[in-house]
Amino acid sequence: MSRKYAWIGMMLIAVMALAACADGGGSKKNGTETKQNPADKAVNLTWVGWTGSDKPSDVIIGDMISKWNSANPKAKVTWLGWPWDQTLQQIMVRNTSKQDMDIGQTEFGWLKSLVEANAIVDVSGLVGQDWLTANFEQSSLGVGQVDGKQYGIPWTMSATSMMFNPTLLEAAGVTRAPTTIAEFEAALQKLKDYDKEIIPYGALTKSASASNDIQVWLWAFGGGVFDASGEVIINNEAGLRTLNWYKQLLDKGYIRMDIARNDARQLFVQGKMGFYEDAILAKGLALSGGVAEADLPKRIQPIPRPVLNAGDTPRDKMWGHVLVVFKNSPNQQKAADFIKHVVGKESSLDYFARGGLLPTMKGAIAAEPVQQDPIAQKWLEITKTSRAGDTEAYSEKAALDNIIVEEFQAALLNSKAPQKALDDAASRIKAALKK
Amino acid sequence: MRTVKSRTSGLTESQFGFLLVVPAIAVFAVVMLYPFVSSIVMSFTNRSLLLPGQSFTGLDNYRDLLADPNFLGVFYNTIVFVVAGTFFPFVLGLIWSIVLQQGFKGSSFLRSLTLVNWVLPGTAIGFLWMWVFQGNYGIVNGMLTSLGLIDQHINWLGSTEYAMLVVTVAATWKGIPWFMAFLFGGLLSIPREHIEAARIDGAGNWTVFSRVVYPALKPVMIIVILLGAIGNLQLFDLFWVMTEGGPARATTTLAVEVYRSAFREWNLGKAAAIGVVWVVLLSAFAFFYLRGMRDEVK
Repeated sequence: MSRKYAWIGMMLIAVMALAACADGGGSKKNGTETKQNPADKAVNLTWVGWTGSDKPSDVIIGDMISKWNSANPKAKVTWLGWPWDQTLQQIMVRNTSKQDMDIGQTEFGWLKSLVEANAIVDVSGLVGQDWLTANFEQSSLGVGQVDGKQYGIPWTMSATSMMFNPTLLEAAGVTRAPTTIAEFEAALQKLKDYDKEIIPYGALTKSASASNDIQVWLWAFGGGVFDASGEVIINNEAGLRTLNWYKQLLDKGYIRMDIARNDARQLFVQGKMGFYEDAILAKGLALSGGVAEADLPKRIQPIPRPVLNAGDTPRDKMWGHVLVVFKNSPNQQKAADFIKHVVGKESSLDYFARGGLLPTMKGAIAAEPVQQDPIAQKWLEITKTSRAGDTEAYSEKAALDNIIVEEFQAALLNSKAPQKALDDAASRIKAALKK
Repeated sequence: MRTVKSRTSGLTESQFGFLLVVPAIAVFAVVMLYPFVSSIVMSFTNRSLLLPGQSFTGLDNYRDLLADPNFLGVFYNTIVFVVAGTFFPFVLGLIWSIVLQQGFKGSSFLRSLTLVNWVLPGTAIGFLWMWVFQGNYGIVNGMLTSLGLIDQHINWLGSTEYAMLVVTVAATWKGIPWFMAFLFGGLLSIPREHIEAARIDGAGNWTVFSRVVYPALKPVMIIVILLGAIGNLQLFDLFWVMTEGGPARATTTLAVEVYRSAFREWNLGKAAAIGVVWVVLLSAFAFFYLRGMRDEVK
């Protein structure tokens, strides 16, 4: 075969291939002129997230969608989900390639990245500012805001609180929940003395999500990742004190390495762990894990995080999910209407009753089932002094969390001296933000 | 060159042949060539999942990699895993293929059973071995404790000393059937008469292996070692499921680092640069593989 033919053919194919890919791989419906469909035209909406793919909440989400689809046959919603730890990257990739996404479930901490990626829109114009202020507390709306704009509508929120197993602690001789770090350590020692097989405290020591809990302990010791002006302070004296305290917990056998959130949840439900940190969904997980509703108060009790000095204000991290509308959606108004349906009183109280997650609308929070639930009330109380994590203000959150956990692990495993690990964390954080 | 023309189409034989390969070339260009070239170009840009566009940054991504004090560790972890994760399944696969080749009763069943490891998805294997080596309730700790070999549980995946070892064990378990299948095929191609003749001459097991089996099996061994090393260089699922590259980066390999750069830092330019370094490393193996293939054809 002639070389000339081969080269000409290959060049033609390469040009065709590059041309085909250059338009974004067959993107759909972008541009402002196609943003709204005529009211009478049937449309399909895609809701992305993770809760609808998880057991047992998939059934609850499925019911929410079914109710909407029955009432809105011309704007049917379809669920598209991934595991929680893959959801943000899937959204980012789909946004880049302009694939179908209308409504999204995200964490508070992901909003900054999504705004920076130009993926989501300010929803206040779609749902109406009056509707927002009439139905939500200002503090609730705040978790869905970036730079003063309302990008997310709060769906559920509470704090990632410390919780304990009252039955286990009582058996170990701990008569009341610890309020200070000294009392907390004493309780851990009693648990260890009671049964060596029990892990006294399920502090997360694996995967980047451990950073969320580390940040709250940094606050408890008077430190943080950043100060108010955004300067990195993780390697200051309070940071060193926090890391040394973590190391001491490990050396004394109060915490273990290789504990991820799911490990902690399972061990806690099985009665093999005294304390761990989780959001209010822990209640639903305990129920689905075989704990009878009547036994819940004996198996799971949320408490404010122990403080360094008696009288200090306990600090916990705000946790929750918001619903967003994607910029590439051609059906933004319908998507916003669907969000109203999901966060509405009927849907959110059903979610609370079956999944244990707190609602966000004033009317739903004031409803009897929420007000009469002692565990929910404790969580609501703890949430009052909670705030967003330090790294959540940055679109590089995932990278920063990874750095913090890696350096803490290095110190815990004696690969680095604590001060060196914190100094490395500080310089890596600065470098990551400089990019 | 032959220029015989078809009676019906008027095309020469070479033109007709070219038309036949056009679909394959088109698929290659779209599926492999374009992404590859695109990745190389991307490695010289600041492309990010957070930014709509990209700009040319020259060698900045490569400079950042070289300046990163952790990158050498990533390289070291990768080499350690590729060597250990190829050597152990190769040796065990070779031993197992020799055992199965003896043709005892039930050997066919055992051969099929061995392949189960290979059929299972990497994520399932990862979870299986995580459970086996779980620091708190894993069966390895349970066995060692009941045998009196340890008095305190070892946190296998939570320690920088053992985490890579555990992933290597999982990769070895997964890889044995693959090596076994290739080597078993190679063993079958060795004429039985050669082995029997050596036996008649008084050769023992080791002599038969070193003088008859090994020389005949050597080309297959080289190919499977190279392919196994390439596969291990690309391995991601076991690492991510079992350790996420931790603790303290003890199991962060190039594959994990590419994923982290792209989907944790959103830095596609850096991820592409690591990918290019990775391809250079892979090319060394690919070169020896292709040379081995060429020699075999000759």
